[in-house]
Amino acid sequence: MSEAVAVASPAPAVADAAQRARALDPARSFIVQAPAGSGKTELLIQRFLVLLARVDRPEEITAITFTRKAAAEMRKRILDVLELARRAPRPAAPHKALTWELGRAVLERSDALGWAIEESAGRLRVQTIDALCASLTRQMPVLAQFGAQPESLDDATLLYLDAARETLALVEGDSGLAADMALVLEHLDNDALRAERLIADLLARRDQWMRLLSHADRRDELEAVLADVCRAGIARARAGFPAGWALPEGDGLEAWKGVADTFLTAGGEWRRKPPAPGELIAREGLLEALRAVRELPKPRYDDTQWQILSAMLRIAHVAVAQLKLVFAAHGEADFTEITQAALRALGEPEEPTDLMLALDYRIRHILVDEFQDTSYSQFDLLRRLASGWTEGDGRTLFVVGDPMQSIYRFREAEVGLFLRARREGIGDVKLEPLRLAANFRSQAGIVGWVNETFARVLPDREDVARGAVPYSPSVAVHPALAGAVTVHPFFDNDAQGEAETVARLARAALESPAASGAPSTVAILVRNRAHLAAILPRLRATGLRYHAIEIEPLVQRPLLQDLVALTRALWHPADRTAWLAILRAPWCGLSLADLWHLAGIDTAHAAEGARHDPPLVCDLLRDDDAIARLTPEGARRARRVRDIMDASLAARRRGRLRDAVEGAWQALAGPACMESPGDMEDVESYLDRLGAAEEGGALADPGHFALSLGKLFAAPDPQATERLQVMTIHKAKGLEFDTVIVPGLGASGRADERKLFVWMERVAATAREGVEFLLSPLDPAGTEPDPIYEYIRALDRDKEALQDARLLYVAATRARHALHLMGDVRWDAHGDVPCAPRKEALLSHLWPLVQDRFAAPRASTSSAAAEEGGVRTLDTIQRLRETVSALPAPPDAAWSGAASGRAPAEPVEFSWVGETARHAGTVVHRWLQRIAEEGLAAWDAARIERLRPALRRALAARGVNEADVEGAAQRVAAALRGCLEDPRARWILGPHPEARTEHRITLRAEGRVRSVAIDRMFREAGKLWIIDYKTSSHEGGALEPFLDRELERYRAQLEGYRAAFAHEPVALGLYFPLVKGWREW
Amino acid sequence: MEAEKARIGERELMARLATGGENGITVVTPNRRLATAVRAAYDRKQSEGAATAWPSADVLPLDAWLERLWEQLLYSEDVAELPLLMSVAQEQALWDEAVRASPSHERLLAPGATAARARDTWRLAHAWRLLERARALASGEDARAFLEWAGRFERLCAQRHLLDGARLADELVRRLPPASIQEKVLVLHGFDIVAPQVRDFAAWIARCGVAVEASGADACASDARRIAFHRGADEQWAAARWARARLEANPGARIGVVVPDLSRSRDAVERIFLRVMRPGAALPGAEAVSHAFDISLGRPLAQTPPVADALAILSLLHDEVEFEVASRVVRSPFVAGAEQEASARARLDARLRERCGARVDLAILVRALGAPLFSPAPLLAERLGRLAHGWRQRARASMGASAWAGAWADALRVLGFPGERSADSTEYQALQKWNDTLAAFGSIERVGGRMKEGEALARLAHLARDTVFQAESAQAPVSLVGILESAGLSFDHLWILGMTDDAWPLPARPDPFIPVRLQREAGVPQADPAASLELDRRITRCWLGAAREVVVSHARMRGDEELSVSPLFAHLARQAPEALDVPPYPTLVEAIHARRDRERIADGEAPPIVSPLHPGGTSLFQNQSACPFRAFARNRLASQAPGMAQPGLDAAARGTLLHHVLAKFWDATRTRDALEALAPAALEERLMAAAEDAMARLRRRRPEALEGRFAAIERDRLVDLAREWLRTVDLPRDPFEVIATEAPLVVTFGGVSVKAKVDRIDRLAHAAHAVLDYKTGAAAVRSWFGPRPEEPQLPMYALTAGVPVDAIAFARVRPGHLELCGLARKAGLLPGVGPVEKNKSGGAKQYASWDALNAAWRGELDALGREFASGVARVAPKRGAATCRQCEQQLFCRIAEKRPQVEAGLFGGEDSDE
Ligand code: SF4
Repeated sequence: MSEAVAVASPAPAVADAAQRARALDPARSFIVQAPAGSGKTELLIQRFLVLLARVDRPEEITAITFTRKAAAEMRKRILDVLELARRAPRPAAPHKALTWELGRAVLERSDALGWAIEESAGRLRVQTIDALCASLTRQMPVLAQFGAQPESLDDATLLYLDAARETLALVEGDSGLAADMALVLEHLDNDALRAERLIADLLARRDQWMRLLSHADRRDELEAVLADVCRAGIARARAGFPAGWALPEGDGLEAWKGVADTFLTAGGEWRRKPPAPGELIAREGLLEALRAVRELPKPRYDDTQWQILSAMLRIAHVAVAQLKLVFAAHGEADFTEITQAALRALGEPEEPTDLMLALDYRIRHILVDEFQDTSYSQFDLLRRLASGWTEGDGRTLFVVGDPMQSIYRFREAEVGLFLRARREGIGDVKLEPLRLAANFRSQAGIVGWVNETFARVLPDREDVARGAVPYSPSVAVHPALAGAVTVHPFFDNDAQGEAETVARLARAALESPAASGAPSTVAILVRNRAHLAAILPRLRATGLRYHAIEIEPLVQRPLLQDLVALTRALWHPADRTAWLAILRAPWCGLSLADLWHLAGIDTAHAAEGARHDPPLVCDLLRDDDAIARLTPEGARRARRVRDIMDASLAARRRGRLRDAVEGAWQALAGPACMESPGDMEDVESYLDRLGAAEEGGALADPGHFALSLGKLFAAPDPQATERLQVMTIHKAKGLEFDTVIVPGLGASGRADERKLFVWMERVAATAREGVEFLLSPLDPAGTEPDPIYEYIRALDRDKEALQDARLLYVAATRARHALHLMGDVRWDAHGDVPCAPRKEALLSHLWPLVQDRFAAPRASTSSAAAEEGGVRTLDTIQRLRETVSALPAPPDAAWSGAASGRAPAEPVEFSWVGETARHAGTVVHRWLQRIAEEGLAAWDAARIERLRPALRRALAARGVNEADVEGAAQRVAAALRGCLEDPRARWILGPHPEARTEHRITLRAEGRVRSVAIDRMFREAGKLWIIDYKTSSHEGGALEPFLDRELERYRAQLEGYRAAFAHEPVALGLYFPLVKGWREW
Repeated sequence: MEAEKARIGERELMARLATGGENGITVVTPNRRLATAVRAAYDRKQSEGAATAWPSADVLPLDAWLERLWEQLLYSEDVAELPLLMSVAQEQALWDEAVRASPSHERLLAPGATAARARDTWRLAHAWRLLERARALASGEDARAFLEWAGRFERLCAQRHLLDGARLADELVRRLPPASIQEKVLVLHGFDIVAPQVRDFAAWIARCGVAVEASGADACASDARRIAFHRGADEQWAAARWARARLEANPGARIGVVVPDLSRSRDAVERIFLRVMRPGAALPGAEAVSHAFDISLGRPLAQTPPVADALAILSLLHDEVEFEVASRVVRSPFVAGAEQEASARARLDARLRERCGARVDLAILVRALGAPLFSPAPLLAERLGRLAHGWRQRARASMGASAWAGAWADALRVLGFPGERSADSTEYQALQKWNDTLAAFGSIERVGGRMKEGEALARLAHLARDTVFQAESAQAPVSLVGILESAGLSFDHLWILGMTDDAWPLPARPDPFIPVRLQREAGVPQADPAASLELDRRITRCWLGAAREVVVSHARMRGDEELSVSPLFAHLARQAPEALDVPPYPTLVEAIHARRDRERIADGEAPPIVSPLHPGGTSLFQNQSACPFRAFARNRLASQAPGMAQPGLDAAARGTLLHHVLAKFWDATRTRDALEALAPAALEERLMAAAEDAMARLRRRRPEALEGRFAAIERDRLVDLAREWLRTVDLPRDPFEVIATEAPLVVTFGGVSVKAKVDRIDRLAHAAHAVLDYKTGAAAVRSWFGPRPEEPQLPMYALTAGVPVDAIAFARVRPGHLELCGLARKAGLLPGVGPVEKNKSGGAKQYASWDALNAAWRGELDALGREFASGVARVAPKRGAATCRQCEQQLFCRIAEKRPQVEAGLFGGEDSDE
């Protein structure tokens, strides 16, 4: 046994001390069930330190967390331990001392091996599984089949839609796929839009079904699974009957459904008339078994169903391929793609990639946090990383989690994998199960209630396939306090009453300090944002500021709506709604009458046909007659907007749309419509989203952009402390608060959407090969629900219900001191008994336990609700006073160089011929330089002739095509020869005092310096000659006017030279070697 | 190398340069930014005096210097054959070829990007002399793949007589005659790390008689501090304000800001600096002036508007494109007549959206432009027509790159690119860069073969994406640089942003294509954690000595992650932001907000209508009922937005099709008995004809929406659905005669008359009449009950049909839901349609009989009409958020501010779980 165990006695008082100590054995692999509040992060860190002190390189340990935030936190805590171990003395408290000592050992190791670990936090591989995958694929680009790493996308919805659209377009092709697509479209009533959405939705979930596709063409195997399901269901029913009953022979489904009908009502209860035999009623489990028989799927697909299913699967396959193309085109990919690539890179378990080669180190230890929320592919990844590991070879797996807190099904988490790993290990690695029980978080009152409640709410038996997790009790470390758990009943959709209570409780809790004496913290946890509809306004109305991340959608805020209107108006002048909206927005605030006088289509002056194609609002604004119809103030306001928008339109597509919108918004005094300068953060998030949706200064896809706005959320209130937080239960995982309020338990979750096909993997209790899943296509439009489809959905609902119970557990276990649960139910028709909540409501799981709390007399609906309902209409608008329109102008930075940009010349047109001429000119230029340097004497026509190869080479090097090289070389040679004959050129190139060629000088003028190269410079007759060569060529027309034009073109440039040499007389010249032209002045 | 011993400081270097260019000192730097900085420092020194002109210092980046040497070789007469030194674009094309020729490339997600990566690795391998060893080792699939590509690349180079930049230095050693070297003194400036290739080259040049020296920045004693900010943006704002304060305090100051991860944060940082330096810069019509700061990184050329549009035009020329791409071409300011026809093209585009599908090609566009439309844009039509015509005659076959470049240039010219609006300085420069890019593209002909249009276009687009465009500006006093470019620079004030522990030091990042062990052994610093840390420590020291004032900052939060300071700066004294002593410099937004002054005006009523006959249809009443503002917006202001091109048909179009089919069928068939008498084949034929006719009608409006196989499916769907309707609903009924289909009507209520079209009127037994309205969506009798009935059309017809009406019903024609659903004077007139007295839906109780119901309808409808006529335009959605959800006027009616957020449907049911 290692020494870790010897020192490990974290807290002798703790019930599970032995398990905790064992978990630090660096030689063994473990799977730890760590219920809420059991301090698993500390355990993970300790183990990390234990391992770190033993490896050769820090990279040999990989720790996987669920979120980036958790990774950052864990890394920070490790570094804190190291810092403490470096600077502080050994603490006295035993569990702190243990950590300190572990840190000390790491430092010794680091110092001995020169890691400089405190400065190299990046070498601590603590990361999310997505980051791990990305780093693997980055290091194995070819094995991962990426080649070059794409950017990871958190949300790839828009790309799924793109891929779906591409897939849909296949219907017009002539491959077999076109027929498949046609079949699918027919199946969906030729609703292309719906088909697109369904395919996009499938792509988002492809991690779940892609593995299945390879088996999907095997009808017989799939049907065998169906038959298996039927057989098992029938066998269960058969077993339910007492011996001696005459039952159908064999497994005929219809016969057995008949049996069920004989004894059960349509509602699934025992029949009263004729009454079902008491003997049967007494049989435990028979009722459920018979109900289940009714739900059983047919053991066979009918042919059309199979035909459509296989078409869908082929389409799905193609859609995945299209998605890859879309990813490639964008250079982006979603996490699923990257995980798949990482799996490829790691190789099949039987034939693993040698990571040592790719990484330069071996991964020896893997720690996984939140293992209960692992998906199939992630599980597979672990399996491959650990492939070939054997017990005692110094490599270990350590996975920690709490299956009772597995709540991420919508992100493909599969709790059954935890259960299976506990039984069988992961791949080759067997895991020793450990169970923590101590609860360091909640007071004993809460722990007791949770123990009692969830032992009944969670299922009794573990079931890998259903993902059923039984309860594992906790032992409180903290003593009991008063007011642990309170259930607050509400009735008949009393959202306002609930909201009031939430606000009251939150305020009270915030005002009383926590047991520790510190200011207390409060969290309001909901299953989904919709449940906050009444609560947030109520909190605000009560003056409570709260911290909410990704809770309040932004687009519905007036501020954002104004920006959207402005964006659309600039994007498309024919967007009439947007143009009217910007005239109605507070920065303009035109009255209805003014709007109508300006843009009405039923006015006396509106042109015939205006109804169908009315003039653009921006054109109307430009029309003085139209403006004249407005009230004087309205006209002033309208003109102001017009001027701004016109300026903006005139500069349209110059620079970025984002900046144009921002600028117009500022000019319109949009910022004066903000409630506080802090709102700017929301404006920024909008503008950033707009910037991201741009392509070349225009919206790449306005539809996609609009869609993406739905995912913008208000930034957390900067003035709110984090003491009052509002979040979803999912987000609260891993957090704790003094008081937790959980409203909305009576509300149902969201309805599940229909999918193109449904699938259900049967997590076999043990890993096996071959088909182990059920598959069914969506029913054709407008037909009876298909039993296979419905059966699979029922399985899914069952899993969902089990997860709901766990969600409740997560919510309940966030509380340190007080837990408030609120639910709303209806009274029955007579108004004297509360109805049980709907099955989809979280409250339904608690119902048997809390039902009596709902016996209270029916409360009257709160006054607040009535009040608000009354104020439906408001015939007023808010707008800025006209005085706001003049813009303040904060001064620009004062600096010496500010100057307006130079006015550009007309852009030159591209032409390939022009390119070649330009290159030829450059080559002439270069050789003239040489001639001048070497002296004319050394040059004659023959030498020029011999230059040919060099000329060709130079031209080719500049980019002249093979076909054009010869011609160009000829022209260059001719030009050079011409120069040798031209007396002017001979004068220029000839010997002079102080002659220079290609003279690089720096000039200073008007406070600026610029560097230029002067082609030829010499002194003659007391003058300094500055001459530039211009290799412009000239065809057709008279030469002299051409030269004059050229002179004008270059005059300023040369005058600049003259200015720099102002202390002496300067003569300027332009020489045109291609035409032997000359200008001097 | 020997020079290392005598490393001179920057001050010394300046003095040496000042002795004159005649001494032939050439200074070589690792990157362009540093060369510019050295030149600028030299020029600053020179301009201290009175001189207005002085010889330029010869300072250039290493790559450029090597190319200059190569150029000398090009112009020497006595060198025989020389390989062609490839440009970046040419190299890239060759790597592309090398990678794509490999059998493995098809499996790769991004072969193009892979080629670029391979090229990087190739350079690294040469710089560090890794290639031979990697070849000897040949282990690992990634390394083997690279070696395979590299081998092919090398062979291609040899075959085509080409040379690439990675091997240029070695090639020069081989070929350059020592005598031709003109440099006398070579100073290697700012080389922190000298890779073996450079070292060898320097040694060789020294052997050729050039004095080789090394120099670096002088470290100055600095006052360094660190400051923590809440978020990254806060840091950037503070740095911008600080830069402005320092600049204003000393206009001659040189100020540096190091921005790690510059490529990602470039735009954000630029914007913040701009807002601080020039608060009004974004305002429309703001004059373009040179900025006080520059950024050492541009954006992809392809993202500049004119180039993006040029590429859009070319892709439209090539093939089908997304509608939005075509729309961009139609409304591009960079084509001929864009200003003149601006409004016309906007309207045209709005029409095209109704007419076209999700994808269009040039032919469709040209056809659509030629169709009679409300807003013709003749200039555009003519140009596009010419383009389409001209392009069809282009050889569709393979052409060389330069031929493509020429053809594209011609095509763009036909469209009048870059438009009639005069280019501003940025556009001008972008257009020039675009020309360079076309030229660079054309030059790949030298290294590659012919290409099809698609491939050529993809390459051009790639090139334009990879080409970095940075509008040039005058030298700015404030430089924003990335970590790499910051090496060796010195300033008066330096701010280093983003120094969190996860950003600095950088993690080791070995090249994936060469075994890490080799890289580590060769000393590639990025490959090894220890060496990489050492390098970053060195850079850290440089920063701290690079200016008199050094500020290091970091954020405490990123999203919900907590961050701490980089361990390499943990030793610096931590200060509060206030310690910087910088004025607040209010932004324009803050200044505007400070002037906020609002008023509230009452405004719920528009002027009354001027003429009773209103152009709106019956939906006017429906709108008025749902929400008076909606009616005002839609029916009096024609407020609507251009649609989004979508695949297939939307629900409304599909509904219309079905209407037409059934109308057509009953036009021909008239009575139930005739239906019964129809032989199956005849029925089928008649339905088919009706479907074809309906589709033809739709095609007249939207010719592109119904094509190909999709159209065939739609036709079958229509026939099936109609047949099913006839079989299950119409046929089992008592005898009836259809006396009107799609009958036009003018209805008047409360003083407002509108035109209407009644789907169908059936004459039943005993001269009773039923009015039917086909519905492919949801429909309920409830929607006829007041107050403010939601679907008033059928009640309107009941009162105005011109015949006594005894029943009205929705004919629900939807797969799986085929039924009549309505109200009648008495039971038995229509199957499933009973009298209101027996009706169980909510609201039915208030009506005692058919006649009472009719009277009530009259009252409600008159009231709605009067309301509309008098101009009532209250924002009052009948069923709150549920009504608004179906309405596109939300921006206009400002419902968001009128209703407390809760009710605004803000939290409306969407997903949730996260
Ligand atoms: S969005 Fe709502 S309030 Fe606005 S016009 Fe439409 S229905 Fe009326």
